[in-house]
Amino acid sequence: MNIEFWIFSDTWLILVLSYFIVTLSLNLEAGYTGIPNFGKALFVFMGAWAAQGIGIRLAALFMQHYDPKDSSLLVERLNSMLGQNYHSLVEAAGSTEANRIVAPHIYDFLFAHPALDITLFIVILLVTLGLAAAMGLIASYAALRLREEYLAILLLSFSELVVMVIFNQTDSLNGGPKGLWAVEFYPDNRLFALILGAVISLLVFIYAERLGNSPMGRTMRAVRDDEVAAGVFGRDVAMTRLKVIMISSMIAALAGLVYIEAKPSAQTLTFNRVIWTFFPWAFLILGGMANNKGAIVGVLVFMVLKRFVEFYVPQMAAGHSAAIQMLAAYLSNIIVGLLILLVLYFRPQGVLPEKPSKTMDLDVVLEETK
Amino acid sequence: MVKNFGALKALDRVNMEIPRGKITLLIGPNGSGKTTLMNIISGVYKPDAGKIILDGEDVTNLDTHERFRKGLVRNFQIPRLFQGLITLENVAFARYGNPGEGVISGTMKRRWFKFEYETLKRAAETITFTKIRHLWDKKPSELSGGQMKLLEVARSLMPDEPKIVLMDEPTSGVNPVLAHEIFQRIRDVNRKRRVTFLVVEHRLDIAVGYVDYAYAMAFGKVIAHGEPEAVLNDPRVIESYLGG
Repeated sequence: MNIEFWIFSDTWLILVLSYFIVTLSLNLEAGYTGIPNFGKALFVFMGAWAAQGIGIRLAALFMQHYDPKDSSLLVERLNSMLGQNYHSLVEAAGSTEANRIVAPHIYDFLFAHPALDITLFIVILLVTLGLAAAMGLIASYAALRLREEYLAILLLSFSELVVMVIFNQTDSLNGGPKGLWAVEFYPDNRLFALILGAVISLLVFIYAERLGNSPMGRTMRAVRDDEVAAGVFGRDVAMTRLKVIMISSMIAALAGLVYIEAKPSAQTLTFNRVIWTFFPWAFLILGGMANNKGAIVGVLVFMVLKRFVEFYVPQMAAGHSAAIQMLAAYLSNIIVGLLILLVLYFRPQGVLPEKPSKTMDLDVVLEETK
Repeated sequence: MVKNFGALKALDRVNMEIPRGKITLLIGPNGSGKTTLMNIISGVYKPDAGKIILDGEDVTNLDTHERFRKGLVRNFQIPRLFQGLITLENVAFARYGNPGEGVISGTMKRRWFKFEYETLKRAAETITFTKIRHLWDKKPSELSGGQMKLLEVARSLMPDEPKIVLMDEPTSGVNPVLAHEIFQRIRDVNRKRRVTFLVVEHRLDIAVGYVDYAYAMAFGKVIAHGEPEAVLNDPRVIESYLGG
């Protein structure tokens, strides 16, 4: 598939959808519950890893099991070609040298066996959610004990440590810096990612809206505003935070899965703090904290603006001095920063400010008690 | 009960028994340890020594939310309202046990609709009583100091079946007519629902007509207790207020 409309493409659209998902999940934590999660990149990356390092090996395992003849033939050819000594297809699929050669064969195998393909997709979806929940549990261990600023710094460094150091430096986990090619589920992987992203975004939006307008939404905001008072009125603040972090982490990981399906060869450092932590924060601040529609508006405004700048400014800078071209290359980041400052100064509540939890028609209830 | 803040003895072997089903007044000059005591009873602070027994059960090691669930309700002298919640929500929140307070159950409206409806109705009635009904959709930042105080009082009258309610200066900053009404309401709740109250109050002229028992504190110690009139006229109490 190749969608192009004006200066926007399908990959841009998929990135926007992924951002919807991450920003909505960040909104549940930061906007509603006041948990300053500066480690979003890590949770997003869990979805990518589920399809990359874990997914491609699982797919190889499927192929090895259901098509042993072709699998061993493939391994033999690889061994003679690369002068290696792989014992299994799983081992080859997980190695940095052979991964890119084996992956297309594995894709073809999956496309030819739809039942296995669907099963694998469901398994990877579950792995994504499971990994994110586990990471969320680790993160919430800190979240229950630290004050806001310390928690923000801790989550940021935790995310950096896991993605930039552990995953980026260990070849066996996700192929090191280059990253392993992720498993693909459909020949037109971008179409698949687009549909997956659209469906998940929609479901997450509905979920977030329902939760925000439920008694839980009210409790989350109470915990955010004054944890002592929330505790005095019987709410287990630690438990509330734990639940929110777990569910938000799972949602964020889905964004990683969507994104990696659009770009199966993405490098490990694609999942860095600027793109998957700071940008979602910027979207949320711009759009309005504790407002799900605000989160969507924030993503759209920012991403459209960014695309314009990235598309037109380099054209305008072409032929000028190196300094100007350099400035043009970084202009979108400068504008993002400037926009955050302006919003914080002139409209700290964001484009769409927070609204009461509309559990039901409050006017009507009030009218009835007259 | 003992609580020290550094070298300051905020509570110096305070021993208090709050009579069940009665309204007890706690008085004392500023800095005598009344609010510290409230914070310790409700679990916001941990005592350095001593025990808190609620209805025969030792609750000293329980967290604030666990004490609330045992029937211990309090309000705050300086209102601690939820700034992002409107008046009606602030009051509705004070009722615990909504089945919709989960990350999954929250999305299932059928499970919590009835409870929520009752809660909102009761919250509306409570703010009608405290005369802030017309402010139902305002956030705390839009309220005056007195209105915030009324909201804080409304919140502490909201929970189901409390055993004891701790009120820290419920009528400070409220006009005298309304102050009387608040005490009237406290007495109504006390008489009808057999709820025990411990009320810290500086406006003794108003409070004394509504309470059954009184404690007086000074410098972290209990200096007198008994019938309200007797405590107010106790020379040690008068001296602590005047002599400082």
